[in-house]
Amino acid sequence: MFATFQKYSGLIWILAVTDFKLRYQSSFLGYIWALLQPLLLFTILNFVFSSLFARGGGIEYYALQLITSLMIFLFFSDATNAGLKSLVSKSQLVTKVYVPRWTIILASTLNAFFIFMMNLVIIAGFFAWYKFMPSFQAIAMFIFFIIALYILIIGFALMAAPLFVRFRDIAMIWEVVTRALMYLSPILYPLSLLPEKWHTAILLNPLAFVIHFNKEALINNRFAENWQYTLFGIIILSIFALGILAYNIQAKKIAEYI
Amino acid sequence: MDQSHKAAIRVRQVSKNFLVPHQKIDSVRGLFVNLFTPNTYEKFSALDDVSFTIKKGEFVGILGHNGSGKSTLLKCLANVYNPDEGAIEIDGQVSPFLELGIGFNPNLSGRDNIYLNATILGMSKQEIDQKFNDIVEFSEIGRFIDQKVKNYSSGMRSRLAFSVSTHANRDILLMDEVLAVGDVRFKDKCMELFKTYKKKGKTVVLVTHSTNIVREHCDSALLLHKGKIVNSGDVDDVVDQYIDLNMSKEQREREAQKEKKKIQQQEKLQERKRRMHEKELERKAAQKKKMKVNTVKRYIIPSESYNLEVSDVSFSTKDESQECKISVTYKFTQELHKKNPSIGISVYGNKRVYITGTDTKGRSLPKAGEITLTLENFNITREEDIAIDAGIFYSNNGKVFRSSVQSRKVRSRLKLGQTRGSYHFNNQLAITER
Repeated sequence: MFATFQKYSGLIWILAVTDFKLRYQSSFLGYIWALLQPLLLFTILNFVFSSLFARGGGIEYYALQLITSLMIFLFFSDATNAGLKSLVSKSQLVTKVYVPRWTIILASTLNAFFIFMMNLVIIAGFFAWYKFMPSFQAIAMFIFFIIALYILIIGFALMAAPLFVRFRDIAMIWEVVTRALMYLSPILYPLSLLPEKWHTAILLNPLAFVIHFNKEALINNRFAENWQYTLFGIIILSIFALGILAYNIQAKKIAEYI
Repeated sequence: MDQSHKAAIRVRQVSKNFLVPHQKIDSVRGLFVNLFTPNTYEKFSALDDVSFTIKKGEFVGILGHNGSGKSTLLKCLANVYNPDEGAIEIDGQVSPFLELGIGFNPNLSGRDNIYLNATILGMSKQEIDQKFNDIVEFSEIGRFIDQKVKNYSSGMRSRLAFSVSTHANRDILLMDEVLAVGDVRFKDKCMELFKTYKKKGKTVVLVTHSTNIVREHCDSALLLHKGKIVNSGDVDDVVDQYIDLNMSKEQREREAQKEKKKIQQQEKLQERKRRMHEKELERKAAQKKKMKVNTVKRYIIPSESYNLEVSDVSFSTKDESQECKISVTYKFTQELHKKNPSIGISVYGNKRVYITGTDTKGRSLPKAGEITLTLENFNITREEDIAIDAGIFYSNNGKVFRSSVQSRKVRSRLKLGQTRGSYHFNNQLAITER
């Protein structure tokens, strides 16, 4: 399996790089938009919500919490959206030549990953501005969460991209779902703001789990229980496995439906 | 080992069906609605129990009209479609050219597109680096390589795509009407290339409608009709059947009539050609005859038998008009003198326009002497190149004998205040013996 991956790594890379090159092409500011867009969004959200929370005494390092959570969420929504539409937008590669379809899906999500990598600079910049140094453990946790999230994204994309070939309204549904996920994950607010009885249910959503415990680790140096990690890992891996399974079932017929 | 007897592609009882729903479901709502109503599908059999073998180094043409399953078959070979039943065994790397320039992005430069397209076709980075210059050279893109492909002409685009495709250099090539897009030169280039492929023992499978290409280039052919192989093997045989299949009864009658008309026309044309040919022959014969008549009358006086020279040309003014005096000296041999020859003098102006002339015919010339021709009122208005020719001639029994012409050139111009206008020559010919 690793051999096939290696064989197609060149293809995945060039597809991803091409997407990345084209994304901001013929825009005046170019790649700066990759940084500017989330930054502008952050500015507005930060203005509204920090003044909102200021009434209740304020939240420590709210800006830091918001920027990291927002970047993670944007990565998730960007990557899933690109992965979902990958096969349809590159239909030529499906119907006119044989390349394994997963390479196309993977390449599209990789493009979002590149942008996230760029955005890490902003996050680091914010931490530097606030002269806040997270613990080494917390940073390791952050890396772990990003990897886990990326596995989740791939799992979703493998499942959804072939489905989207047949059912185009999945894109519409997913748009609503991502918006719901934005508000159901503790991005704009701390989890503690919600009633305690809902916490478990909310944290069952892997995106919410990542965002919540990432914040906890980076800002408060607090970590989840081991059983929580285990459950989180199981959920991520089962979604990934489900994705591969769904992909394998559908892969043979993709070219016919596109 | 002899490669030519090994199979490159072996297709065993391959079937491919497409389910065409009477009501196509492409939305989730449709899916739910249809959960409660039984779905009716129409089974469309694109390929039905197809089996064949293609040897290594063979150039195979697949014929068949629209909807016969050609493209489906090619897509199955290219692994784009998976057959429902049967198996396809392929020995070697496949390079599918179902379309030229797959993945070309108009917003990328030619360079980037080469890398992108070549990678999609399965080349590695090193391979592309190595062949990059060859690819550019073959495509004749030159300095435009770093320009965006959207600014290329369609010809440049297809050349670039073709160049990349061919440099992929795989064992088996699958082509679906790729040639249909190019111009004649491009097609020739393709065909040239296929020939070299054949030499290298590469297998080419070509789906086409062009019976000419199949007839000219293919080693063998396959004819598909309604998803089944109707005929395979000998090219001419397959092509004939394809043409036959392609025509309905009515068409065939029309075709037959056309053929008849064509033959008639050709006959007419040939008849006309024949007549024209005859006329031409007649004309030529007549010309020959005419030439003979002319040559009979003309004879040359050998140059040993005379001396002839335009010895002097002088101009003088007299009573406000110009006078031209021409002297010609000559000497005949005894033999020529006996024939009583005459001497002719002609005067030509610019561009050898004949001005005037005279000869001594009717007067007897001494054996050697000087002839002086005086042209009074030689009032030419421009500076002019004047040529004076002198020649000897006599006739004998209706045959005219001529000497070669002696010529002399001078420049003449009227002086100011002199009469301008036409020439009123008063030719005076004087003969003195020498």
